[in-house]
Amino acid sequence: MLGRILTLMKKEFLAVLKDARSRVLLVVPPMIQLLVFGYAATYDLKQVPYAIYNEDRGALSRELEAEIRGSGYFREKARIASSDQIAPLVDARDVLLVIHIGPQFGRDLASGKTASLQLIVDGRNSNTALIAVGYVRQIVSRFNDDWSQAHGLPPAPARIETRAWFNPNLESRWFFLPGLIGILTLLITMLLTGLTVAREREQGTFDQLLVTPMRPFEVLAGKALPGFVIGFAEATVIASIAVLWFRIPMLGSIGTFYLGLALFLMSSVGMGLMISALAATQQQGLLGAFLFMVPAVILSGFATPIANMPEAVRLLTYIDPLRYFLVVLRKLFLEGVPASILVHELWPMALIGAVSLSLAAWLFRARMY
Amino acid sequence: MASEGVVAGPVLSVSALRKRFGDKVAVDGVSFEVRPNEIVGLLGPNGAGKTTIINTILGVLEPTEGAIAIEGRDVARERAEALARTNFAAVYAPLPGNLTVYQNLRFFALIYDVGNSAARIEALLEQFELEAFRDVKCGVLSSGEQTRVALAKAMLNRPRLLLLDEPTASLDPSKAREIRAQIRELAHRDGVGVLWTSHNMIEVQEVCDRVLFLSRGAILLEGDPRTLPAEHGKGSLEDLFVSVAREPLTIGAG
Repeated sequence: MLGRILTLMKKEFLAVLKDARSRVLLVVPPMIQLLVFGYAATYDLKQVPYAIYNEDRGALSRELEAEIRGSGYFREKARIASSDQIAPLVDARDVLLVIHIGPQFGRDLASGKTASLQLIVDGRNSNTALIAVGYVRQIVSRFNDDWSQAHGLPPAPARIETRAWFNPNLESRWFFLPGLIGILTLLITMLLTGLTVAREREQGTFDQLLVTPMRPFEVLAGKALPGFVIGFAEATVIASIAVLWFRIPMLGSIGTFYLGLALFLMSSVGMGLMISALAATQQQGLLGAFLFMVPAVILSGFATPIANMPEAVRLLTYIDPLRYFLVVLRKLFLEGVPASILVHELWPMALIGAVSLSLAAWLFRARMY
Repeated sequence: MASEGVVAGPVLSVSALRKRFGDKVAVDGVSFEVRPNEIVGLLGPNGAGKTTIINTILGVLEPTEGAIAIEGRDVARERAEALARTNFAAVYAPLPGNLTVYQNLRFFALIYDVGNSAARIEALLEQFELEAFRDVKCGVLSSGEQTRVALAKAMLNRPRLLLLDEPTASLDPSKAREIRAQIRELAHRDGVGVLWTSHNMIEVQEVCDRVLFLSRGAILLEGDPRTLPAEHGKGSLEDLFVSVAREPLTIGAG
């Protein structure tokens, strides 16, 4: 039995590795996505274009302007002299925000009153706008502290001292890249296993396999194992690049990483084989893989917190293996937690893996007879 | 060309086989046997149930009723053991095109657990004149060459039962004649039972010891392809085939 499984596995490897297009599919898309996410996908804003509308023009308002310019977050795109100029700049997306310093700003400050500052923000990209507003708040808060200290005033009654644990500089890359290991591994295993049977069925070669003495379980195992091996290799390469090239800290144990990966691969290979057993053509297999992939990524909490999702959607996330693996990855990389803390993420993946592989075996058998 | 009688149990025994797809009955109570040394032709118009019967024998489809045994092994209960004694070639079931001829034969030799597989593969490469294509991917071979590779694969495990679905359909007349001779020799020398489907009645008459005419999922006629046409008042096997396809009730009653 083992000999036949290994023979089929070897044939699957030959089919994938001898085909130039399959080799490209295994290497190029994950690398491109890794580089795109590593370098381009970030919540950190730099050089936000803004316009300043300063009606005060006094020393204090210029001091505040200098703080904003020197923060590194912003790039002054225009200085405007009237409120009529605000709308065209925002409408044309020339600036993300306009900072309006009123004519009384300096005088109010000097006389001990509260001085107002108006921000006009392009809310079409609400996420970016909120981050930019947060940066302005930080600068103004620092400006207030400096002012109070310089003028012997008592500090604000309550102030926030932020210390970011696990990611001291709050770098988005540290958040994204560990999660990307899960997504890219899912992508590769789904593509490999989702097409493996469909391709043979479409070409007619699956019939030759079905009429051999191989049992359905042996066919399933022979088709599943290459997905496991290639998934392990891909995840190892991606994690190595994340750590060695992008300098993401890996504080957890390698053993726990591979334990989580093995359970995650069980479930993703099981899902892929289920799709493959149902699909009659490669096109159906590919479509099925993407129909699973897209919701799986959205429901995983990769980009948006699961806690913010509606209750019904949140329930759906419990059957998404990526949801659990992302937690494992982030906790391992950034927190370095031991396997005992991750039990509640590990057992659901094992359960999903067992159920999906059993269903795939049943579907194989049902389609075989 | 009836074989010399070799008394032995049948290599294939099909009993009261019935296969239904929803409301449609594809195979309706078919029973027949294939004995060692015997080549049996399974004939009938398109949709008569030939491929369904072959797929059921091979365990790809589960019978609704009835039983199939290969050398006494029940296909439903001892599938792996039964199929280890069987092999199959069909125009609609090619070998993986991204593997070379040798890789394909090696793969199936391992799957069928063929002893001394290297020597067996060499012998089959020579027998089917495939030495020149040993390292060529099957996907780029001509259809005739692919058919020869499929036949070589079908012989790998020295099957006791060989199922051939239009095995010479893609071959030129000269190669087809050679292949027919080889299969006939194999059947009569090694005691192999062959179930052969074809729409080429001249070929069937030349190769088969016995034919089964199927119509609407049931066996309508059975007999020696050389004497059967005359028994039913027809000049040739092809005339008989056409009559079966067009007027099955008349033929069945006659």
